[in-house]
Amino acid sequence: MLTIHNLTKHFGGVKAVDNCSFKIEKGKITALIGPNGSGKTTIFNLISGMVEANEGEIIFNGQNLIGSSVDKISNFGISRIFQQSRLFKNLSVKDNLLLALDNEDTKLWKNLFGFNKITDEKVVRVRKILAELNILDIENTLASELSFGQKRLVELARAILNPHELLLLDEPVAGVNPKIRNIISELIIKMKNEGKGVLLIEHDMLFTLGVSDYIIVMDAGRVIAEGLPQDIRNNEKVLEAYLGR
Amino acid sequence: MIDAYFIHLLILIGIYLILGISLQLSLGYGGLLNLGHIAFFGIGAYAFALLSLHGFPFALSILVASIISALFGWLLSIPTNKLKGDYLALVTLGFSFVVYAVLLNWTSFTGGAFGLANIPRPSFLSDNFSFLLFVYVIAIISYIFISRICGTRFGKLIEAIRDDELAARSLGKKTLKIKSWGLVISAFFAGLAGSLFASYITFIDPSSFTLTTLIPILLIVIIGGLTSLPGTVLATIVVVLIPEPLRFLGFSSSVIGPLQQILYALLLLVIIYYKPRGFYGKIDLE
Amino acid sequence: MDIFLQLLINGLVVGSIYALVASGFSLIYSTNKFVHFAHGGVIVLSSYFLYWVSAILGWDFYVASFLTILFATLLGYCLNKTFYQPLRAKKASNSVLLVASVAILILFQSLALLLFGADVKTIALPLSNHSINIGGAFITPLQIIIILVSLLLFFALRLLMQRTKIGKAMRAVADNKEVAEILGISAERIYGTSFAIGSAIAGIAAILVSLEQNITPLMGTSLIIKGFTGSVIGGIGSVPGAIVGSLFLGLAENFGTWFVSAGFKDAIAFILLFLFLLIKPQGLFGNKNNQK
Repeated sequence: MLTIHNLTKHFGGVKAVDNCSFKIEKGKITALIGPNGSGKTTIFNLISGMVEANEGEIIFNGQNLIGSSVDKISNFGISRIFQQSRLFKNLSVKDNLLLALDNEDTKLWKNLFGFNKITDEKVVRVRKILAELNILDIENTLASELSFGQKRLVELARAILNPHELLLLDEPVAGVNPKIRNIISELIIKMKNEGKGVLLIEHDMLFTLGVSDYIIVMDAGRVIAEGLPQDIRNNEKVLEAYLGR
Repeated sequence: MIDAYFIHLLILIGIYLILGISLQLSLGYGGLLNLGHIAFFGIGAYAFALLSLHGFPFALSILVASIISALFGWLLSIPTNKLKGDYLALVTLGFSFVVYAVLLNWTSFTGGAFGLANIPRPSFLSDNFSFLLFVYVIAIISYIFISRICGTRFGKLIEAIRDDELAARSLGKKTLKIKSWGLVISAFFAGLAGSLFASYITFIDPSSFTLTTLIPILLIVIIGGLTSLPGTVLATIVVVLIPEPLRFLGFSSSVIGPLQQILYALLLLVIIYYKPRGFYGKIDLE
Repeated sequence: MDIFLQLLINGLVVGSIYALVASGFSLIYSTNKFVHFAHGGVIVLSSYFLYWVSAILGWDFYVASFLTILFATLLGYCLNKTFYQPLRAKKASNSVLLVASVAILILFQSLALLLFGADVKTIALPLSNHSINIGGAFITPLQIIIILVSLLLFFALRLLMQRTKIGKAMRAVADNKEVAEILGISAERIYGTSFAIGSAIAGIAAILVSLEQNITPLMGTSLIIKGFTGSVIGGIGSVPGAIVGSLFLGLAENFGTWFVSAGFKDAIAFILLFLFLLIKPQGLFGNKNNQK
């Protein structure tokens, strides 16, 4: 569903992403791994439109994403979570999630004349995912008052409620306790089974090797290896990149 | 006459209330530190004055003046939409300086330092009591309108953009457009307040639309608490009434003016330090 | 040719006045990294102090001037200690500090209005004000002094920022407060010092401006806006840049009157401010890092 061709991005003199090409398939969980600074988050930023590529193409369902704005790309069907949770801190968890459901809230006149009320159906959807993540009790808590793990879960829920076909997850389980890690991995697998594409960045190798269907390894801005988890585990180049040269 | 005095105060409260809630929308809900807000007040006042001095009907003048102010809100939003924080504050401040300079110097159009006088008031509003009722009808309608906007999902979206614009964009929201709307609506009501002000005082000059006037309005929004509309109402009453006792202490009018400004400035400094959330504020000033 | 030369001289004179304001302001901004609008308030109160000591108390002008500079230094220093330092301790953002500085400016301006009234005050000139004719244009000795002082400040401040220990400490704190503190520099002390030096310069500005333009309560606001504009044009993080930017502003205002009526001088300044803030915020000499 997503194909990257010869993607390059430099910042000043540094090539953060150097001529990368790979494919992401739907119904599969693909992991993007590599040492710090290898360009993984830059790839995410390029796909989601936060940063503009210098060269190359990003084709999503037949559409080239290069040059499109962040909101347009989101509306094409790509959802994302960030390395540091970016919740709307002065809004409740419920409001954070309701905002993701659709874009009817951007229509001033419709809202003013009362045509965009919160329907029961929307509340049910929000509650459903909160219940799946075992955090129904924080529905009305302000986002700023959540614990680290809760914030991660809410951000994940928000990304999932945002209509999407591809999920970009930047370190979804970094820093969370094992219980939450399990909840998150179950949810990600569920998304994959629903036919969504998942691209994730993670440093937790156990988690990554356990949940991924395919792995892409980056180092210094380039793709140095890709394949099935068991192949990557034993790959010379990968070990070299991680353990230093 | 005591009666007349109270009516005067109530009218001022009504006008400042509209001005206060308009700033609450852009500052409290929108998170935009628009230090140039008084410029919209002034544009509305002058537009109304010029229209009615040229014979336009009263209600039409108010409406058109508010729309003109809203237009300037839109114009200002174009360069400022991508700015944040104190940088945004400085640019909006710069905008208000430009407006002030134009009001002061385009003498043929605005009357320069002498301003515009003899602004007509319709006969059915010629006594202050009827004008008071009129102002409050407008104030209540304005309050309901803004409160509705803030209470809907659109209002939540404005708040979300304030909290994290990038995250809002990653949910597919066209944040620049929404921010512009926020400024436009805010400017519309500020212009509305300006029209009422011009109609009430029947004489305006640029000195009413300077940084000095911004202080009490900012004070109102902060004392009331960011995002609290009821707080804004309470704060308006407090802020308008606080300097009034000075009048009864026998000071001359040339002393009361600066004393009032000193009071407001000190209050603002004290509130920012001790109780930045004011009465009912739910968020901090950033 | 006469007109051109006169406009040039007027531009340099008024530009130098702005430079006097801008240099102190810019010093404070470059160290503290927020816009200290109250600098205009320090200037106006210092001007009235000078008036009070020399015209009302009747003391010798030079003694009064010296005391004025002391007054300004103390005022600025105490202002920082009383208002900004506690706010910074509460982690107030730059926007909050900006709002506070505007409030303080209005506070000082109103104090001046309250204590001295709205009418214009003048101070007797301690030297002859006979205009000197240069090629058909006129300039007074006072105006020459103003231009010279601003040039002197340009070199002195450059020296201060680049060569002295204090200057380097100020730049260190401005660049990276945490690292500077680890290196043993007390940030709050440096902030205090920057306010002292910057406000001392404000005192000098107050003296010269009072002599050249007379004293009104609103002078602080208009001066700081022009000084701020000059700083932005020159590059807001750069102290010497602020001086150059101010000279440029003075020239632009005066040559602008060739095209629009004199009343619009202020409008020229504000439009320049607006444009520079939007299009070239780093000014002519600043670098991009100086924006937050």
